[in-house]
Amino acid sequence: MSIRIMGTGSYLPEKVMTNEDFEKIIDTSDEWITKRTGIKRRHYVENGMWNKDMCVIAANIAMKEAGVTKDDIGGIIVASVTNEMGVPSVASQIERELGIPEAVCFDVNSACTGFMFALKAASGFVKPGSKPFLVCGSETLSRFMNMEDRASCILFGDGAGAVVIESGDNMKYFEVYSKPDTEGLITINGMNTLKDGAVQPSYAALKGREVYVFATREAERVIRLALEETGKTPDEIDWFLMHQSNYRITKTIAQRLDVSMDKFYSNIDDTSNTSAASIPIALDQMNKKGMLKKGDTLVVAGFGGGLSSGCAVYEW
Amino acid sequence: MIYEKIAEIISDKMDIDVDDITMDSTFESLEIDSLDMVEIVMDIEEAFEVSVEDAENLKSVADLVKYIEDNK
Repeated sequence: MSIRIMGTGSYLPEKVMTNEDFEKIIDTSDEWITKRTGIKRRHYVENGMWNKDMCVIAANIAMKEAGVTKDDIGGIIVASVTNEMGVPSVASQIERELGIPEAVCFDVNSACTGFMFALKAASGFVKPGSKPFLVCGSETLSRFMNMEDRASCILFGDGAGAVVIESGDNMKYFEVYSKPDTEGLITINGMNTLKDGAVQPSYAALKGREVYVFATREAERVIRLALEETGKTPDEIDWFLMHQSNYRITKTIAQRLDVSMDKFYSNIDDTSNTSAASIPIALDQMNKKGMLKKGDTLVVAGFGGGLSSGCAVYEW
Repeated sequence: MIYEKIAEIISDKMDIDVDDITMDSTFESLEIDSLDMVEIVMDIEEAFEVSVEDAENLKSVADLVKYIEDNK
């Protein structure tokens, strides 16, 4: 089923961790981080803020823009790899926080592509005349940083983004993909308590070089497929929105597609990689900045752990 | 032929004059960092249809040319 995005919202925690802050705790420099990633700062949750709290803020903004209230919401799907609870899902926590008596609620874990999988799943629920769905991407990745691994701890941050969708014909193309991560490129250890009660640290770990190659080649592949299937040329695309992983990955994707970086939105300097939250945060920022005009065509592409990827072509 | 293609790929990627690249150039002297190297190796893999393993051990244009000659 095709969909229409009725409203967008996002939230970035107030606490900021700059590259200079990292200089004080690990052997790194602002110049080194900026040159290799484009990241200048990232936002971290504090004072016990959870994914559900960020999602509720983002959701309220999106619902207001959509002109709907909590009573209109038929379902909530959240993409996240950092739920603070095993059970209930972040979606069910949001349902409770918003005071929705009954909605279809579940979470999706497909790492950095998670929001696209969640949106694809929601597309199957919304039919003409049915209630709108709330779809969120949210992460508190700061809890999973190994602050002794200077290659990975600088890459990730926290945040949440949300969209409210209904049935519509704006989604022109939407595919998601998964293939096995046979080399263990991107991992976060799971439940951090072992059976014997011992606690093991749960850290995000990635093989940088291999991830870089996968991300750039896979994004190029799924975008080229999307353009081919929709019969569009890059010139006919107004905006390319990539999962915000690393500025140089985005730049390499643009080069490989032979498209100007001017068409690629980037907020990685301020957000770092927020995994499943990155696409809805960036989409909301583009929307709020007035960058998206009615009729504009967006190509949205995600790639990440799993290994997972996806590409959507959406007419604003 | 292999050298010329490699020089062309490095020249394109790093936006430097192809005449400034020689067989003896080290990647460090060309200011190629680890991520540039990943991108260059990707282009080289596609151009020569080879898979480059342990790219971090390659330090110069000559190393790269020899690797391609040995593995092509």
